[in-house]
Amino acid sequence: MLVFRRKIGESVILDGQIEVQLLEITGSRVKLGFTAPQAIPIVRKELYLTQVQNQQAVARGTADSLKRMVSEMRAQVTLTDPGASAPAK
Amino acid sequence: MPVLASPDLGQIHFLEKDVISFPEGVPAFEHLHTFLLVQPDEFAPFMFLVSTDSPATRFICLPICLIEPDYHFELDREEGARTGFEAGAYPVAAPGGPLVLAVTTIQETAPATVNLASPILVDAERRLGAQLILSGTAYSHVAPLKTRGRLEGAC
Repeated sequence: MLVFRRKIGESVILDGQIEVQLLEITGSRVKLGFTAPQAIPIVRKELYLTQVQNQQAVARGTADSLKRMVSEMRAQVTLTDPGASAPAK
Repeated sequence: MPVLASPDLGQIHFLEKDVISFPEGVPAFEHLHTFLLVQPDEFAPFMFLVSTDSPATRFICLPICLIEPDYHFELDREEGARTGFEAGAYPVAAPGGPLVLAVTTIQETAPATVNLASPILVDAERRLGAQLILSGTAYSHVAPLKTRGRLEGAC
């Protein structure tokens, strides 16, 4: 990881077109400002990870694959949970 | 009665009053604002959150308490204001508190994962839903799906 030390008001430039400026420091929180071309989406990492995960969740899995999973899970619970109703012998 | 044609579930008949509003959409699908929460017995405990505008867009969800019995988080004021849910500790212990669901990703060649870092809240009474973005959480976006020996029960 590349590391810079910056003071309030100072910036770094990414790829000649994105500016990241250190605006404010309050306790353990840092306020950053971004200036970039509109086509470049800038989001918090946790939001980005959720976007990616949601796209995969929608695109993947079928009703059949889920049915297989459900029956495997039910079989497992019957085996491991003494409280679950066991098949009659 | 309106009907949705879902590729996974076939025809879903529903009532307008069952439609859940997601005013902010969900991340990567911000343009979808209305969903149905469908719970077919054959898929229990999984539920399907199906977009009424785009029924092929569906999220397979699980109540998080079935995965992590001790699951909890703090909803801060900013995120609460964005989503329309009251700031504070979740899950809400009182009856009638919102459902707390995890989006499940089914993989054909790898174990399924659940997103514990971005829980979906559904308030049945207000017909309101939102996916939260928890900052600084220790929970993973891709936690392995383990059901801890039970598949049903109150959360």
